[in-house]
Amino acid sequence: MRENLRRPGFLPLYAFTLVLWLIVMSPFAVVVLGAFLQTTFLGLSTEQWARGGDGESLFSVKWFGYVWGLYRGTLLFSVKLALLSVLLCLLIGVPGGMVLARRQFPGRDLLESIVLLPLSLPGIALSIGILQAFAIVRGEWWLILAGHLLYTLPFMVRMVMDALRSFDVAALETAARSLGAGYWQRLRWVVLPNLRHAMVAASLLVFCVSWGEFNISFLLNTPLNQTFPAALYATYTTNSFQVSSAATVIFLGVVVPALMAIQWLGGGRGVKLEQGV
Amino acid sequence: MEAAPLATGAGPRRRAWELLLALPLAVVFAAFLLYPILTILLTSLKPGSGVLHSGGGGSSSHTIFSNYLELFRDPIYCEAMLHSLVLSASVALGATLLCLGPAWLFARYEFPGKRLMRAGFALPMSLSGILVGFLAVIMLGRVGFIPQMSQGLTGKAWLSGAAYQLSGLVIAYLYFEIPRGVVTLESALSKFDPRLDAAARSLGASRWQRFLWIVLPLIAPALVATFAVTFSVSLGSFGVALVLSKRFSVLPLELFHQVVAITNFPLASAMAVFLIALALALNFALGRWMRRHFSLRHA
Amino acid sequence: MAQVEARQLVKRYADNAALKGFSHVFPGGKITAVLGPSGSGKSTLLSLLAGLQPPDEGGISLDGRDIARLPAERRDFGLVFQNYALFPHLTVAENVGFGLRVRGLPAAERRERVRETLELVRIPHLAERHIHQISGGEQQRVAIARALAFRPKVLLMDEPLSALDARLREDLRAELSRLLRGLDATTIYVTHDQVEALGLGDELVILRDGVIEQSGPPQIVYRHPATSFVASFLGAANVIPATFREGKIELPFVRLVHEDASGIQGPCLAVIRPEDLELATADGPGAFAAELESSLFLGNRMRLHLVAGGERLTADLQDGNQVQAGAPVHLRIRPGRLTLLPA
Repeated sequence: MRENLRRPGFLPLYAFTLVLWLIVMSPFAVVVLGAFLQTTFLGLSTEQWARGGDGESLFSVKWFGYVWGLYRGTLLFSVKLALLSVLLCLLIGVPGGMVLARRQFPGRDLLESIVLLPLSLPGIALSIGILQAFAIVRGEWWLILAGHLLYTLPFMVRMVMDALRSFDVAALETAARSLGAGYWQRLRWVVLPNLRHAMVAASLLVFCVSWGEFNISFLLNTPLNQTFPAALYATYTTNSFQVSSAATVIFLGVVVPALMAIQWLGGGRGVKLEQGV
Repeated sequence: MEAAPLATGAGPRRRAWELLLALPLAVVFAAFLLYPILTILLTSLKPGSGVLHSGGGGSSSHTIFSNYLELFRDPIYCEAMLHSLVLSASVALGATLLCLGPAWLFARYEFPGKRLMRAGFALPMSLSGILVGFLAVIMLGRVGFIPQMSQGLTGKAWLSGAAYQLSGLVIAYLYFEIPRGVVTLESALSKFDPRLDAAARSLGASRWQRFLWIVLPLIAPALVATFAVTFSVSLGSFGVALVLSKRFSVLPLELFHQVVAITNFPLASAMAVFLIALALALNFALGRWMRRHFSLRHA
Repeated sequence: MAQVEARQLVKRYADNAALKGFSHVFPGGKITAVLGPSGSGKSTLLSLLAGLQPPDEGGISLDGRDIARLPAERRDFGLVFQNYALFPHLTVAENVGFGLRVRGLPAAERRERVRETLELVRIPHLAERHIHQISGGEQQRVAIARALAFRPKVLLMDEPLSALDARLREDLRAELSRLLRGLDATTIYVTHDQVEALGLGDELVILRDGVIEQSGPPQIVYRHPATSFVASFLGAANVIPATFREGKIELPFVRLVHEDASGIQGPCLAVIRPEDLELATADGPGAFAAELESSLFLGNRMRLHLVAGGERLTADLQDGNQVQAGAPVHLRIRPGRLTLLPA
């Protein structure tokens, strides 16, 4: 840090970034505050605080109970979807990514660009496509899962491919072959151990993406199979800001730890430099 | 035991069945990406089935492109399209400029709390649009936090209801585009070789000269890429507008309206095709430009 | 001619110091080669001299004027980087002209100076090429031209040849020698390659662990190493425990009459270069017997690994193929080619 302070340009950059960061963070603080507030207004007007002091507590957790009662089904459904997305991404995306990264075959480049395509396409447009293409099975819960796969598989495949390309997997495999390792032994002892990190990080990311997916869930959902983000939208349009805040805090409570974990895993390279300063 | 070819190990004797491991992946994307895109492509050529909005053509004089003609003739859709383009372009420009600071900081300096800061910036990126919309309402709505606070502190409710105006839309879009920009730009900036800057210093270049003549030309591709990514995401973004937009319509919202309220699937499909085509064209152009740029620099 | 003086330079990183009080006067118009193993602090020294980072302690002056706090861009020191650090978005001519452009030289004059400088490094035909279109050796010439074009007072070079392959390195070394001697600029040349240091430097500074181990003209340093580190780092050396008393030196395998001005008495170390051992007849003066362990044919000479009096010896002989494995060999030290170091 002391070294940085002497470098010209560090302080202004740091100050600017800090301000931007505080602006980005502030709504989260307000939402958390709102979720626990009894008053119907935000802010500091004295009469509200006075009313809060009338014996009735200003803070309460009752909104969380309300949200839980109302949306328990959608919460569990979303968790189920997210977990299944992770499982299927591991089963489909890891082998797929390994083949894409290690093999050359006709159509390889095409397949890779198709797999990564959803990341750059507007979700609402694809949702309309799925809605129409699978109109006869609309309402089936697995259709929503399929839609989620469309947006989660690209992450898994890309992270697996990046991991495999970040080291010379071909040379390692050749070395393993020269030592007499067969195909499955190489896979088990050489390739997969080097992928473990990427798979964990990608699984967390897949969970987050599926948990927060709105476009496809919203258009394909039915009262029986409603995802939590779709329920969030309903809350935002019909409920008070405390209930909305409480629901949002529940949503964030799942996603934030997962994101932190990803950041921790992904930021492993910088560990040494950050310690001791 | 098999003979191990040195060099790569990618000999012709490798197992063909291994390719089958990629089959499920191919099937998923054929069924849930290609087939739906084909479906909307075909639907978009059918006559419109709107119950409310008959548009310029009318079903009697239907040609296969009439949905697209309607899309580009009807003032409502044209306006939505224009809004989308202008909004996305200004948000992309703003995000690219604003995220230059954090991206440069993260790419070039190590400091305590860096990881927490980065994690914070990564957060809005992974939230769905509706949530960002709600955050905008809670901060800038008619009884939002900022108006209430300023009312309490100064007696005047600043920015009350801004969330529902164009400014609120821009701020909300920036809110999730800045993090995306930071991530995109940071990875590009960290590839910038600091020795080039040192070389320019040793040759006598001042800070501004270095920025204008060395840094800017070299990070230009990253800036363009960041602009393109944020533009393309804004263009397709839907959740924020769904929560916030009361009068100010954007194309994804219009599309949603066509499906849910009017059930005019052919017209909605035409819009979806337009959005997809725009995203693909942008992606393709960017890819080509980057490739040309890189073959020029790093051959 | 610009004389650079470093006084008690100290630079610390995180917990360890890269330079621990470096003091030296780099004579004006001369080439000083700073030689040291990796981690000896030589790159840090160069970046302090260039002004890329400030020293933690100590001073740097140029012709008596203190410049330690002057930023790199105001020092007018030419700097040649290890991996060239050429601007990838500019042509060869634009790279070379960069230092002139930032100084606001008119375009016509700039073109002329760029052409001149490119001719000096013998690549005028590459002016309009892009950096990626030219070879590594050519890039090296561009990097040198870029550092020379604005006529710096001091030229700093950081292992400029280390990224090239052996053959090219040799060619460029000869040319660099011609070029630098023609310039009369004060040059500080950092390297870990002893051949470069010995061949290019008018002065040699041997750096170890952030301090100077020895400095002086290359011949003197080579012939009279001050420490056993210098002896074995600069070329190969046999360092043998010995005893010196009243004009006589006693080695484990031979006793010799020896004159030494350093005032060493008693137990000491004797430094013998491999090329200073030669074949002798068994009863010749100063001859001793040794046993051959292995030999290595090096083209123009033979390298022998021997044991004499329990000590391992390395000898480089022109006529080494007369020696047969297993047979006793008789050697002697060339007269006057023995250096004593304190034990």
